[in-house]
Amino acid sequence: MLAVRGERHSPNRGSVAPLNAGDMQQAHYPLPQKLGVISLIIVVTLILMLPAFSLSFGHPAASATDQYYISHSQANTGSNNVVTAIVFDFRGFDTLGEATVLFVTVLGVAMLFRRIH
Amino acid sequence: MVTGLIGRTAGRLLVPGIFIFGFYIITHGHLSPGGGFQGGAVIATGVALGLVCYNYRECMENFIETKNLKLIESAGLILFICTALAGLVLASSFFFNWLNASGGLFGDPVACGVNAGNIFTAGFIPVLNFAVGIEVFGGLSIVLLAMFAGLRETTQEEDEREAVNFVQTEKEK
Repeated sequence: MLAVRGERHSPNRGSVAPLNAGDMQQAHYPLPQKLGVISLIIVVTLILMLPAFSLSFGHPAASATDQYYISHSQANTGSNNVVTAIVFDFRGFDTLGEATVLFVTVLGVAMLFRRIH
Repeated sequence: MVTGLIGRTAGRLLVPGIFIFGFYIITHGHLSPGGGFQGGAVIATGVALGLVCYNYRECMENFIETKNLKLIESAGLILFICTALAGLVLASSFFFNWLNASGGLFGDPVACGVNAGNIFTAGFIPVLNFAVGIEVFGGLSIVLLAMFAGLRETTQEEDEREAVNFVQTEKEK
């Protein structure tokens, strides 16, 4: 009686065929072809990373913005703390985004841990 | 299970100090290291200590409820956006520091160079610090309370049936 009732509640349980071992098998490539693909991936990655490593970071021409923040933030924002001046004044949209991200995160956690009645 | 007498007394002593320290970090965000995020996280640490010392049910009954913390968090974000929008309305652009050197609230002119620091400077930066601080405090406290609400706790009757129990010993006095 119990078995019949269980079958009625889940009628499709027995009809799914089990997976054969051959269905999940991946295609096999010969070893030289494998090595060629791997070396091609490495070479292309190195070529793509070449400009990233060849460019210098912190060149004097590129640091004009931080020097402006250091020398002008106290006069422009009135804040003695340069970090706070940048975070809340020069980069205010970044802080707005962080606050929104925190808000949405808390919404998600509250939804995940809600009590279901 | 109820935390013992030593834990509860230490929590009662430490939690107000942690709150005051977090509020100090928030209000001095434009003068010293720290700010709204850091101070809000410190205040949420005090809430965590309170949750460890007194369990979730007692915190809900005696301390502060989750829906009030949701209100605090939303008020923080709304205050942040409204302060930034006031720059668009009263001055030129969104996020314009419209309170700086205006002579009003937080509007004292700042002395350039090395100085001791005046707390009534920096325009709307302290207001934004306060907004972010109460938002982070509310948000992290909601996360803590939501996770504590899922724990299986003893009921009031089970607590009162325990022989070695702080609530019991306090009632017997």
